[in-house]
Amino acid sequence: MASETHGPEHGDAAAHGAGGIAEAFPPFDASTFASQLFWLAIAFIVLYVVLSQVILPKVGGVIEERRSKIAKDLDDASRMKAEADEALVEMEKQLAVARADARTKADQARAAIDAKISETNAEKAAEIDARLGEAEERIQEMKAAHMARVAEITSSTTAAVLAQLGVTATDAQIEASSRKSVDEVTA
Amino acid sequence: MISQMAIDPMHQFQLDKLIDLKIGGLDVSFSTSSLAMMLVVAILLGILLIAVSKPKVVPGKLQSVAELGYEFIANTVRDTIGEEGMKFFPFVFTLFLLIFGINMLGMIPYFETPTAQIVVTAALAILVFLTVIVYGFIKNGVSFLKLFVPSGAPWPLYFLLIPLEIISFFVRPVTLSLRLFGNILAGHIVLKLFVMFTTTLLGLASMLSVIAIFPFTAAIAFTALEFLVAFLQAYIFAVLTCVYLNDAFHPSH
Repeated sequence: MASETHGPEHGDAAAHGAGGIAEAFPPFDASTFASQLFWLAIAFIVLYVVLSQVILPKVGGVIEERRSKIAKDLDDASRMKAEADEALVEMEKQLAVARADARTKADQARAAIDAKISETNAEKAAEIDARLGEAEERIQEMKAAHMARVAEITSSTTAAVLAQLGVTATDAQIEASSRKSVDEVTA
Repeated sequence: MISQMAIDPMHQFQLDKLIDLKIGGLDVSFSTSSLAMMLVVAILLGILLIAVSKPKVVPGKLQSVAELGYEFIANTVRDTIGEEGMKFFPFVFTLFLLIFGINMLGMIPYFETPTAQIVVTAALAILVFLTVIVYGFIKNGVSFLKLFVPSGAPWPLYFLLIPLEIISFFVRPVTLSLRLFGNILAGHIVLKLFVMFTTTLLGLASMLSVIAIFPFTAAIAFTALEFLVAFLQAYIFAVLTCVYLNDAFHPSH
């Protein structure tokens, strides 16, 4: 199809005149080269100058700024993390010290309390013993007193009973026998 | 002329003069190609200047795009040449952006595609080539010529290797320009052909018109492909520029 149109196009090139730059194969048409090179040079130079002087430094600058900011932030973060780790270690250390402290204090307190308890126990035990002895003594006293009275009552009763029965006995005899029977009862 | 436009896939590469202009006997008329190039520069600079007008550490959408492009090309330069190659970063960035912009503008119907003009791609390729040679000699002096002497080969092989290295060096601007030119030219021709098939088949006004769906589908598929090519060719041009510049920085390999 293309080859058919090539024929008439050669004739057409002249017909185009000022209107166009025609050739059989337009890219090889040397009459357009000067114009294309001229405008390409302008396009390239304008683009190169504006890019290299204005745009690229700005873009590069902001990228660099971001990179340094990120690096700084990362640095800060790692520094803070190190600080936090340090603080954690310090805290654990203090915690361990405090724990040990608390343990010794608790032990001391326990020992003190134990000592006090045993002291108090001994004291009370001694007091109780003393009072027990006292009570025992009093009981013995009271027992002896009562027994004396019992013996007295017995001998007087015995004397009365014997008098009623008409049996005569000396006071000493009566007393000895009643003491003996009281002793038998209480023994 | 309208009918001819419709049936000739080459017609799209023909430049129309818009303003007649002569400087010192040279015809430097403002053509549709010039218009395309100026538009590309205006659009690119417009977008980028807005994007960086108030640069923020936390970027907006447009600034993100500008930074993405910046990092993309900057990383290419760093990976290929190294940190010292960053002095050519604006050069590579300009080449990439100009070619990419021209290719993309060319995807809009009725706009000229200057990268489908051999003189434009050749000029860009020669610019790269001369930059490599000039900077290579400035930086390395005569030892830049070590570029043609691969180290570690037994000496008789140099009779073979040195001419080969020289040829491969001087063929670079040719391949660099033809690759871009050929890709864009061919892509636009193929697109035009499929669109022409479609319109021709539809114009038949018969049952055959139904099969116009096939070239139409192909035209859509090729349009998508051409957008990829538009980016890829600009990127390839930029990468190869870096690779060639690397020779100027490190001539002995």
